[in-house]
Amino acid sequence: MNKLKLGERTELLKRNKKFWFLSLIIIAVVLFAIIVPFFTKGSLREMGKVYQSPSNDHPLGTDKYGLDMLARMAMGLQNSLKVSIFAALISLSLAMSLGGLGAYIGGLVDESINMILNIIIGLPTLPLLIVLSALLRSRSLLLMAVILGITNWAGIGRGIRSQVLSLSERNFVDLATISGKGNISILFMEIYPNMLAYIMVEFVGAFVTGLTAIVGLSTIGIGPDVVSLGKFFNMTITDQLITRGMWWVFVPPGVILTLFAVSMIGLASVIDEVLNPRLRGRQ
Amino acid sequence: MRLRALIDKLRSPFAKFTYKKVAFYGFAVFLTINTIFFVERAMPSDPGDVMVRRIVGPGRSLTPLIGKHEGGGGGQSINLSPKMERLKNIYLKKYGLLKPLHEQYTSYLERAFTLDFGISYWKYPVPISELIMQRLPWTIALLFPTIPIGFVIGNWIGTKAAFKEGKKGSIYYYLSIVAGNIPMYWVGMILILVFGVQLGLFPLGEAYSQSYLGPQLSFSWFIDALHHWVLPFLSLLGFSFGGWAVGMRSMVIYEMESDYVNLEKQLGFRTEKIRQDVQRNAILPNFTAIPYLFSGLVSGGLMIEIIFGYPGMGMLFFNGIFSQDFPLIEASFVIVVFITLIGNMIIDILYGVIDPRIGTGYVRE
Repeated sequence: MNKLKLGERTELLKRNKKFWFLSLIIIAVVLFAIIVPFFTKGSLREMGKVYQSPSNDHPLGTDKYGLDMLARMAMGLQNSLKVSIFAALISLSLAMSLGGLGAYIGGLVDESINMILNIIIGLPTLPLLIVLSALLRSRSLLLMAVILGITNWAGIGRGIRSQVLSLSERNFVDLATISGKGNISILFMEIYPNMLAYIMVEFVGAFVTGLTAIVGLSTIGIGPDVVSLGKFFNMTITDQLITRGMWWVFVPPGVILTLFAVSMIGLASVIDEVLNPRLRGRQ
Repeated sequence: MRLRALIDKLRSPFAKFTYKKVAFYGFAVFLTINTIFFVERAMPSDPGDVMVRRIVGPGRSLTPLIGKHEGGGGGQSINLSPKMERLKNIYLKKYGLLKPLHEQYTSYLERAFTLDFGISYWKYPVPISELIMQRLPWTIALLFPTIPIGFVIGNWIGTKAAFKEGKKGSIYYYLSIVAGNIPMYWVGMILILVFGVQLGLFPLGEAYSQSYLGPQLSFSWFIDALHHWVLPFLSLLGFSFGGWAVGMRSMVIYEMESDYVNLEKQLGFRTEKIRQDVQRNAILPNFTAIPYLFSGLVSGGLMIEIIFGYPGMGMLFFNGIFSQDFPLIEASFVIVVFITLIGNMIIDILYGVIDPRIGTGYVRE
């Protein structure tokens, strides 16, 4: 295959308009989640009237507790992003160490890991998450991230496994084997750097799945103890806000969540398209 | 002679493939059931404490009962007064949690495989199996149609996205990315807001009008139920066809570069004909993604039911969590996993029917 050098690849990405557009959206959303809470810390202590419609004081209205929706939403977004990025890191490291290593070692280890992967992939994640977090006594962000990471790694594991399988047939891996490097060092120093783009795409996928899942959990009422985007959806269900027409509680969080999720997946597919020679011919 | 033919049929490669699949899914079911058993027992939450807490009242710390106030954090280690301790033990005995682990395990397996989960605490004298029998049909009615319909729409859009040049193709592509990644529960809320509240075209939730006291075997009831079914169904459909379309597009692009397409192009085949051939070949690899898609749909379906108040398994789960009815949660989980695995098994075996190479062992898994 016509392999491109790293410099050429980044050059291709830099010239891609979609790449910049989507990156800008993502950066804007992340900055919103990081910066806004700094300025709105004070307003999170002022409880006003509940479920006020948007006004000058509260550009996005107020929520169930009479708190400013804009401030709460930024805080909730920040927490949701924290959990899901940490969860994605956990899934990725599990997938890279178990799925990848199994594929590289081969034999019975690989067979059994692959079988477990296939089973977990077929299981619905949300019910498992629901049971796990319903059984927890306290749900800190860290604990939620761990649960999410553990339940969410199989899909990536399978992808990484098949990539490692195909890459380990390549010449440079043989070369490294001859020069006497160990299995783990070949995997992490030779194979993974060569599939960086793929790993990145998988990471983004896990990040977005995790984000949707954690917000979903809070929507049912068993998310993290602190505010997350799902808390607003939870209020929406329990207080029947849709029929009461109080759109400002559930529309803005959904818009920002969707915007972020779709841009992330779009970005991943742009990266995939640019760096994957078979798809690139179509630009 | 007929017996002979039957035996031959049972020993054919396809039959062997089917046994293998059934064995795999049987093992998967067994593994999940075990996991939930051990996870439950490894978790810090104690059903006895939960029951006692329900008597004391929600949100109140248990420590004041023994006169020692530790202030805040009522969740950590709970020291119960002797009275409460006795009460807790009664509950634990009732749950069968005081028996040794291996006895608990065998009785749990028995309950799981006979699908007899005892009596619900949420709706006290009603057996859980009865609750599930009431709820399950609704979930099935909601989930199963999304697969074939999503398949048809997804194939159509995915092929368009791959074939149409330039802007038009990207529009189809981005449409499918958006459809596949927008959180389903939020789509549901927006659909209720727009079509239910603003336009008043569809009911706001539940599975049938309250004027019918229960499901009936009449035409008007069926129409009413269908009317209630449309919005939750539509909320799930996007995810279903979006995922298909994205996979379909990349497979079509991949197929477009293969030798047979080049040959057909050189021979001057009509584009329509080439498209048909490519489409047919591109569908197959996508089948392997269905288990992933289906388990996603099951998860999304649970959320959608909660949003719409649709009386399926998701709603049952929700009720179980809110009333801390652990046997009910456990049962709902096992059933949902059963549905997912059975659905996946059917798809897997169908895949063997559609692609004969898989069934005859031509392609090693």
